[in-house]
Amino acid sequence: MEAHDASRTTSAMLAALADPQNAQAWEAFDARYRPILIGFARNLGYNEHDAAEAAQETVVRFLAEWRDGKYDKSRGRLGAWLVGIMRFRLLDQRRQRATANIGRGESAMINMDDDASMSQVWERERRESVLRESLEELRRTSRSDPKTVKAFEMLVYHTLAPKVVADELGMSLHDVYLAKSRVAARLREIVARLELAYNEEPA
Amino acid sequence: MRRPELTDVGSGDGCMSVERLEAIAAGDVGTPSESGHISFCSSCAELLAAIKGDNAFLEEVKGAGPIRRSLVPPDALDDGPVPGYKLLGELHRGGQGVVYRAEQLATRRSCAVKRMLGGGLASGRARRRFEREVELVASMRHPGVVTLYESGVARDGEPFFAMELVAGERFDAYIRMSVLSTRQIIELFRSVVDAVAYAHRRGVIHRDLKPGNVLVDTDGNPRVLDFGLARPMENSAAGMLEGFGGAGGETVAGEFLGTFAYAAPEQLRGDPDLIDSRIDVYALGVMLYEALSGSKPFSSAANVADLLLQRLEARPKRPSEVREGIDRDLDVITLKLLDPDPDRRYGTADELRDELDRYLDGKPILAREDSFVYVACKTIRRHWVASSAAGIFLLLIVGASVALSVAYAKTDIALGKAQKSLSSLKTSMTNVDPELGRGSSQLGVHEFLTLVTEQVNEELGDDPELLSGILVTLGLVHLGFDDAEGGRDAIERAHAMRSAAYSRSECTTEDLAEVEFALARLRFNLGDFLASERAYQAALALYEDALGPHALATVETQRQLASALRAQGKFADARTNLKLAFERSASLEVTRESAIAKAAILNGMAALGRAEGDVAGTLPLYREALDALAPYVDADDFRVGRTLYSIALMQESLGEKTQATQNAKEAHRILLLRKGPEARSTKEAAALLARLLGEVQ
Repeated sequence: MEAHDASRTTSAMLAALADPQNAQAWEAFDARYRPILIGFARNLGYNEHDAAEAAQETVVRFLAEWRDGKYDKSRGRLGAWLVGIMRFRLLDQRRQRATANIGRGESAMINMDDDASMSQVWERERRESVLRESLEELRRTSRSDPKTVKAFEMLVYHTLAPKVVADELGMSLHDVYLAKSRVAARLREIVARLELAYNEEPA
Repeated sequence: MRRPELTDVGSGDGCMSVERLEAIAAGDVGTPSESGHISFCSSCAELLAAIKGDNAFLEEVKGAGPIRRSLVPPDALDDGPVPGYKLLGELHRGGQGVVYRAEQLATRRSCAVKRMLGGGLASGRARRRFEREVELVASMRHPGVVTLYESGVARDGEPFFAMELVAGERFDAYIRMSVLSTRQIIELFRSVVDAVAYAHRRGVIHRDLKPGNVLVDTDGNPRVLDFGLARPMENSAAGMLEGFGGAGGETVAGEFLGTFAYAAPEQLRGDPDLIDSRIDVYALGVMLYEALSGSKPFSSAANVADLLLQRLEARPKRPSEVREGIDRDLDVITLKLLDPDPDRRYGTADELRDELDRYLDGKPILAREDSFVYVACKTIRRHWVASSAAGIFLLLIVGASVALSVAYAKTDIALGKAQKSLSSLKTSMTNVDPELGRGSSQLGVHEFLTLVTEQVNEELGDDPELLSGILVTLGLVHLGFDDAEGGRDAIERAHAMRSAAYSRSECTTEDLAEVEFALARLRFNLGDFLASERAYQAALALYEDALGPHALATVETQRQLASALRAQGKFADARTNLKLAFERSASLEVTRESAIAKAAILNGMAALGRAEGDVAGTLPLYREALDALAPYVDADDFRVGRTLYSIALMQESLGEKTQATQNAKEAHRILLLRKGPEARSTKEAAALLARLLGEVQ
């Protein structure tokens, strides 16, 4: 199984993590959650470097806690658990900085004591991760109908006028709109599938 | 509820086009009649809602971040002949392939794409040559050598490669158009030599250096292109054999590749044994001569033979005699480069570059040591030359195959002996030189072989061991050309000599087996199958004794024995021997030779089946034999021709006329090429083809 396996359910990933020999499970977990954790910290106002460092520590810490049996699924969603560890890591970073008297201009940071907003930020990051992953899947499968996906990309991402897209790709205007509608439907379907896979509700 | 699709666009009165609905969804205020229509037309209203829903969803998707690279692989949209590249027009069409100006779709950079000429019709050798060019260019990193970007397979299944596109002028055009001093010309030429020297150091000979293969880029730097004819240098003894057209060599003796005007005499003769880095040195000489004097060193000639004579015997004018103001040192360097004797040229491009550096630094050049008196007085070695190109090629092909067979057949003989036999052959062949010996331009292959055989007898009469070896080989070459009578004397003499030597314990069991085998083949070809069977039995017993039951020679002899038995109608004995040969062949090491031997056994089984009247059962065996051969031999190998002939024959009996005709045509083409029009096998194929064409029409 590939490490970056977007369609694997979170529950299956967690089950596989129990096996210390299973490096692939660890890589798959890391590939899914580390970007979300980084996005989460970036949303809180942390710079790329600090966010990446805290995310890495969080994943490592989670793994240790999971294997020690400290993560109790009945006590809440996986996301909440990860956010808990991440918050602690970020606060720890801040404390160290304060001790070392390193100013980092962190005035824009939001209040990390607000659980509701923490949860919102996490949720947004998770959703965006799903969307990005859906686009990746679209890219991986675009060979089957490259012209349709290209028309979609030019129209939606390059915001080119439909007429320009039609001329460039030798399509009718109607087909350009049809391409947009079809890719949107395909993306919806992928997103729905990945949402199920990313489902963090306790089993 | 099912989401409406754009194809569900309403067809009622006043229903709106998708374009209008999209515009309205994007914020366009519709006309009052449009708004009115939407309010009562459910299909338009649903479609508008779906479009708005899509737009909102896609905004959310876009909000997850920009896409870093296109959602569509660069080559996915391209349906051109070369995946990943857009071909923009032909740049050059040469003997080996076509070069296109192209754009690499992924990077949008301009490049040159080279495709093999001939498509699916290209021969195996041409393909291997093409693939070799890819390997060679890929292995080189030098500012003076074009860079290879990528190689792959085009949509038609043929290989291609993409390389740097050099925008510039041909070397000669650049010199003509630029007003360069002699010194600047030498500096520019030195850069070309440096790139060639790099290739030589990497063990690569270009073999087709000429102004058209050197482009001077916009920065004034020359770049060497087109390694399509290049090949690695061969320094080892194995390399020498390869040069004769042996395993791995992509040039057969007598085949000329390159451009006549820039070809060294040894290259014109098509003698692969003499081809080394000095042919590039010679080509550089022609280029330098032209660059300095503005004209070619030799006038054009009517044919290859004249060209060769001219290169060997005519001394070009000194460049300074053609154009004033050229330094005497440059005369000396140029004429040294054009020396007909490779030994008298600079050995490598490195040596030439060093000499040019000495010239540019104002130091004495080494070539001056080669005094004029010496050059004038030296004896130009006369090489045997037939008066027609066909004659040259014929002599070389036969000569090389004899030498190759000798060397292969006698792999265990000491190097000294091999050299002696080769040099004797050379002398023998010199004696059939039309000018020096007894040959003539009308010399046919059989007469030539007979003459060589006589000469070999004279040359090696004092060395029965070597003589018998070469006689066996020459005899087998005769048989190879379906000339049993021509080979009879050589083989019978060799047989008598070896038998006598064996009784005196002066030759090995294997040597005797070899000559028994040759005798058996001779008898078979003469139609005396019983004598052939007995000789094969003797050879088999000797080989089993000398090499054991699982040696290639043993297996091969047993297969041939089965043929002799089959020819006499002894089908059961033939089958027993074939079966044993087949079983024994299973333990042979997998090599080209053993694969060919196994294919021959399959052929033998098929032929036996055919003789027994089992037509339908033999066809798959022939096909299997063809498949077994394919990876190891050229597409136009004579064995392929023979097998195709047999397949065509079977198909004829089965009434499959169209396929039979197709295979017979191919078989005839191959056999004509390999065996010549007079060979029995060629005539058989021609007869079959004539029969089929008569019936098909």
